[in-house]
Amino acid sequence: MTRTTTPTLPDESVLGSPETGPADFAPADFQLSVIVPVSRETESILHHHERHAAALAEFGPVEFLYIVDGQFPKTTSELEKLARDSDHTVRVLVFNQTFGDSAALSVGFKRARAPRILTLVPEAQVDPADLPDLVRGLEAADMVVAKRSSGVGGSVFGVGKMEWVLKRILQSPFADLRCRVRALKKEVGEEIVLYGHQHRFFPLLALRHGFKVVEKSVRPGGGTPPRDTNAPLDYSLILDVVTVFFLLKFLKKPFRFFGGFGLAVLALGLLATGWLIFTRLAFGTPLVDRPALILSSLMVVLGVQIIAVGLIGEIVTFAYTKDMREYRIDRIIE
Amino acid sequence: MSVDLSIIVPVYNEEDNVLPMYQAIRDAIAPIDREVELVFVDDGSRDRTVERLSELPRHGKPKVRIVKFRRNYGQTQAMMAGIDVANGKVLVTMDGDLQNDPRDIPRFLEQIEAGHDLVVGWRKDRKDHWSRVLPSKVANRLIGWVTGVPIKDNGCSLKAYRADLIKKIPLYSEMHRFIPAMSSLARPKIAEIVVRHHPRMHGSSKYGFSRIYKVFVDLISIRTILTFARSPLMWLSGLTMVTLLLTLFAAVSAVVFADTSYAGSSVVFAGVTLLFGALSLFLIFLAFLGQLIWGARSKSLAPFVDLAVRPAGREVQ
Repeated sequence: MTRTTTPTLPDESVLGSPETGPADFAPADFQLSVIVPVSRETESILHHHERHAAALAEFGPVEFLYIVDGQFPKTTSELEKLARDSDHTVRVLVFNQTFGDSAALSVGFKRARAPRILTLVPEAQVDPADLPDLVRGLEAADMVVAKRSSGVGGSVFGVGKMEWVLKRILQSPFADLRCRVRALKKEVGEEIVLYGHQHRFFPLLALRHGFKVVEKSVRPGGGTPPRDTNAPLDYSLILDVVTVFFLLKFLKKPFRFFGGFGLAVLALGLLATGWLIFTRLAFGTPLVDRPALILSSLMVVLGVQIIAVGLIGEIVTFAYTKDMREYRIDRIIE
Repeated sequence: MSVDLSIIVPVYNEEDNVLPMYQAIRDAIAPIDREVELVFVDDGSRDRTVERLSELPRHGKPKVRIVKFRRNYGQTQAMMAGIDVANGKVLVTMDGDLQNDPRDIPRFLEQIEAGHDLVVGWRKDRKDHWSRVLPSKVANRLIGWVTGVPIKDNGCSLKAYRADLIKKIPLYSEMHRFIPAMSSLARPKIAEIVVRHHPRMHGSSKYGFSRIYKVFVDLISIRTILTFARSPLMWLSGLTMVTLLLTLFAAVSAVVFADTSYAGSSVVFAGVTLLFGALSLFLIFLAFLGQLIWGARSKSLAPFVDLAVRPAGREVQ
């Protein structure tokens, strides 16, 4: 790797990275930033680093950002040693608590200094030989998502369950969202704020923001799959799907979602109540000794509640709409 | 760098219409002695619309600016982007499919300069199939009745705005047909003028019958927001009144029936009383929640009274 003679980093304060020591590379020199969230003690981390670095050497100066998501002293000290020996191409950030992969990635995107970013996991999810292909894919797209050949690697519960659900309800075109190996342009990472478990749906969110996202087939690397630390897998998966469903479809028009449900329940309730009152008055059918009226009233109550909650959602959207423009301008020609 | 008039045209897959559109607008504004910019907003077209747009002369009269979206976001978003980007003191929006006639623009400008905040086109003699005209007529009646802004043709894209006013009105999702209703927050002076309307020449229409549900649901949202913005505690008050009355009615029934031969009914009515009582409480708390949201945001949302402040004198320069 070439070293430049530029001694200063103009926006050092913006980057705010005291953990890096003096930087010898101007931001423009890095061709690729590799972001690796580390969420557990990983023994072979140096081994994987070497393989990744060797595979990506062709891109010129590559910076590695290791984000240690919590207290993992052994891995951290190994990484720190790596950073000291690395000509400042490796930086290590340590969270004092576990914040999750989404937070780690967001921090990484903010601090990455190259125009292109590759996100990895400290294991070999993908055969390192295929990594350059992903990065090269950025010439024709804003984001390139790795798709491992089916049946290998992947998750505890089998690849594709979540993808299947998402394909049905959101027309998601992605076959392997569990693979965290993704290449993207820096502006994609800067624009999209990830939180919770959203790193899983990053490609979907990028699509929604109007970026061009493509999938590329790669060979699996044979590593153990990353484990989700925060919740039992299936429960969090259901929550995630619901979240992303609402996020993608109804964030800007909540009442279209709530209103449909609420009006249906309310209409049913009103019809039932009306019928009960009508039969009581016209035919003297008693309301005693059965829960009919209470049930129908309950439906009316529920319907009104759903509607009212939807309207509150609409008010929130209205109050914040000036801050969150939905459209994204590609460019202005004038 | 402000100009006198901005004409905002959202386009989506209109490659054949771009050039005729430009020529028609250029000819229409030629007699006006004002500086004019023409803002095309390309809503993620998949055909050669953007190429066609960038072939247009950029710096003549009108000046041409092109805003290109990353993907398709819909007509409201395109109009919002145009409104956000435009530099004019008066903004005119119109359809990109040549159904509006640019020759109407000078009359819109006249009306704004005569002191109106908002000028709305009325396609009195619509050149569309009845299956589009009829639902639209019903919708317009309904919108006028619910929002209290009776406008004969909300769907007509040809409208003119005083820029100060429209730039501050919060628009979102698919609200472009509710712009007059939303701007009623500022109590604008609205004028309606009859415009020419042409049948489509190229391309196909992008709407259908399925909008009815959306318009209906959006209408409820708009009504809520309008009520809420004027008086944040009032928006649920009507509903709360009804549920309180129902609670009262059920409670009275429960008491009245208690010592009669209908004593069994008393239990049922007591249950209903509890249900509606709980609902009333829920609604009251929700109203407070609304107040809380509003309070947290009130600084960044200019009070709408501000919007109603008009430049001194009768002329808007």
